[in-house]
Parts: sequence; C-alpha cells; structure tokens
Amino acid sequence: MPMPVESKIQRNLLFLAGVVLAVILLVAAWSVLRRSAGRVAGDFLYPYLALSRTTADAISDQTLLLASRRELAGELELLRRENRRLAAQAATAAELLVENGALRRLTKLAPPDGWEYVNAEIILRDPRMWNEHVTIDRGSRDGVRLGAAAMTATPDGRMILVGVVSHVSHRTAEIITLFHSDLRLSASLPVSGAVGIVNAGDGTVSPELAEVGFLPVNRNYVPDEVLLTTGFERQIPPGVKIGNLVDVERADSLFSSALYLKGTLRPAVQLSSIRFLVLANRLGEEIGK
Amino acid sequence: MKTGTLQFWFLTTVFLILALPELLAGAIGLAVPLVAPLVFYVTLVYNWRVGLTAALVAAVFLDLGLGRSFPWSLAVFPVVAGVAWCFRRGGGSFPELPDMIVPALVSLGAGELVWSMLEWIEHPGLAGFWLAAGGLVVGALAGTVIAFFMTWILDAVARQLGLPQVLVRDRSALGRSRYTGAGGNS
Repeated sequence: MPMPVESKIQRNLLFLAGVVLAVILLVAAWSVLRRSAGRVAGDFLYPYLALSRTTADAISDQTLLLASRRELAGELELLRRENRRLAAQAATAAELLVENGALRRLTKLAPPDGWEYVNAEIILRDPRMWNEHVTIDRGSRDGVRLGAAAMTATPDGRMILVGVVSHVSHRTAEIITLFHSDLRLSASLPVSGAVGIVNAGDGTVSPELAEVGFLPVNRNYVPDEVLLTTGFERQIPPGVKIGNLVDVERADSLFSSALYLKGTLRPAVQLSSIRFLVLANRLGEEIGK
Repeated sequence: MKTGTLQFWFLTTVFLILALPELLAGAIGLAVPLVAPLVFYVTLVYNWRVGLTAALVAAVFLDLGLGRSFPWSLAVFPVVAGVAWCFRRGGGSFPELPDMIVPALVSLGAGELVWSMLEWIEHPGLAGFWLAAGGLVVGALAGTVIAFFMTWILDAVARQLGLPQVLVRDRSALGRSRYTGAGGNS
C-alpha cells in the first residue's frame, strides 16, 4: 500500500531536521571529536599513508642504483666533505658547552635545559590548507609530545621554526604551523629589544605572512629584523629563528594612547617544499605532561 | 546477499577506494576531488536521503583524516548533494553521459563556491581572492571530468551487480523521468 503524502512529507522533514541537528552537533563538538576520533583516524590511516611513503622511498632507492659509479663516487666525496665540516662544528659546540658549564658553575647558575631531537617525515597534508597544518609519521610511541617545537634546517645548518605539535596519536602527530591562527607563541626581537606574540589577532594576514602583536610602542623597529623564539614556552627551545619583521603599524604620538602595536612577520620556513621535520623534546620530562 | 546490504558494501568500498587516493594526493599538494563526485553520483542514483547521509559520513571521515580544525567538508558535501538532488528532480530529458556535464559542473561548482567563500573569509584581500577563485574554477572543472568518468565506471560495476545506475540504456522504459536509478532493483 503506498504511503500517504502527509506521512511521506513528515518523514522527510524529520530526516532533514535530523541531518541539520547532526551537522550542528558535529560542528559544535568538533574539537572534542577531533581529539578523540582524530587519534583513531590517524592511526587507522597510518599504514596506508606509510605504504605510499615506503613505495616512494623504494622507487627513489632504485633510481639511485641507476646512477653511474662516477656519479656515486662524486656524491660520496661531497657527503664526506660535509661530514668533516659538521664534525668540526660539533667539536666547537662541544667545547663551548664545556666552557658554558664551567662558567655557570662559577656563577652558581642552574645548568641549561637539555633537548633531544626526533626526526619525522610529513605523511599527510591538506591541500586546501597547505600552509596551516601537517601530519607526521611519528607519534607518542616515538616520544613526540604535545606542544613540542617542529623545526627544519636551512641549507647552512641553522634551525628554523615550522610550528608546534597540536595533536598526538600513537603513531602520528599533527603540527600546526606559524600560518595557523591557533598557534600563538612569544617572539623576541633582539635588535629592538622587544617581545611580541605571533598570531595575536583573530586570523591570518595573508597566505604568506603572519601577524605579530603586543609589540611595545616605545621601541624602534627595524624592517627585516629577525624574530627568535624566547624559550618562555616549555617545549620550544630559545633562539630558534621564526622569521623576519615586514612592517609595524605607526602609532600617532599625539592622539594615540595605545601601549602595543601590531606588525607583520614573514616566517622563515618555506612550507611548499618541506618534507622532513625535527621535533624538540625537553630532556628529563615525562611524555604526556 | 540482500540488495540493500550489497548497495551498502558497494558504496562503502567505493568510498574507501576514492577517499584514500584523495588523502594521498593531498599529501603532495593536489586537491583532487574524488569524494565530492561520489556524493553527486550517489544522490543521482539513489535519493536525497542516501545522498545526504553519504555526504555527512564522507565529510566527517575526510575532515578527521586530514586533521582539519574545522569540518569544512561538512559545509561543502551537503551542498553538492542538495544541488544534485535538484537536478534529479528537475531533469527533463533522458540522461546520457554528456548530459551529466551540466549537473556535475553546477553541483560540484556549488560545493567549490562554498569552499572558495570560506577560503576568502580565512584569507581576505586580493591574494586570498585569486586563491579562492582559482580553487573554484579548477576544482569545479576537475570534479566534473572525474564525475563524468566515475559515472561511466560505477554504472558499469553497478550493472554487473544488478544495482541501480544513473545512465539509462533503455529510453523507452523511462517515460519523462530521468535519473531514476534505472536498471537495478531499486
């Protein structure tokens, strides 16, 4: 027997109301859902994502085998040279570390914070939010901690900040970058002697720039001056380059009573071509804290 | 196996087969719309209830998988399903493969428009506008081409399984209605 028209309309309306309610509930509870179900999704997808990475690595290895002996010998020689340079740098750093320890003992200062580093590879990115967050192939089982700094190295070996770990699952972790409006961290400007907050505003300035707020008024800001991490955040090592200052708004000295200024920052990291990351972990701290 | 169960597993398998390449393509910077054309296809073959349910499930899976801080796909996929349903209701001629171009372009374009607007809100200014506009055009065109081939392939598989299809083989059996899920046990 066919269903009466009123009953069909009622059923359709009920279904539509259910869908609307489900959407509202999902959006409202998204951050909670993402924290719990996101971990499951990250671990569920890991084997598939890792498989594609393993395949790409295998192809890359096979391509290397196609190179001639002369080319491989040339590459080896280059790597040996680079190794010698890094070994010399490490020896100098070790000497400085010993000297620093001795000076700290003399001045009765506490020993500096120790850091250990975890290498990670990016396995998932959202093409729609390419610059805002990435997923890496390391999770809590590898010692990744919430809030840890994610960095990358420049060709000359200096570390630059990429972002901060925002979610950790057993086998994967998510990193929000400097372009993500949720990432707020302190930044020092050594040239002008100021400290500001990255992404202090509500949203991002542009796809390539980030906002830096709470800059004190009574400073002389130099265009292109460097911004470094302060070390105020527990899981972010101090002195890591964040980027360069693009500009700072001008305060009208006669009529403005503003105490702080806003500026824009060009992050040093080139996110379009990044593939590997280094995560910093403070030594002597339990995972999960 | 019951038709309903077969339909469920068919759609689930197709969804997983399409969602994983979409995620993997995303990792290398390619926004390949594979799941949105599937939502479009499902809405045309079945009905708006199945289309909306598929849109919600697919959106939650994709947004969770990509770790989005806001479920953007949840705003986009229901629009695709809704516009596809309007075409299903309002269609006047017999559906053949070329007829799929306009509904696919409009449905997926509507979804991309929502995306673009959200992107423009996120990144206001000229750079944000060109980013959003570029995404709209490329996404809608790519989605239409994919929907075109997807309909062809999925209909072929559905025919083998005795499930409903979009494209009509026997025009005389349909009268004036279109996108009726012909050829299966609907």
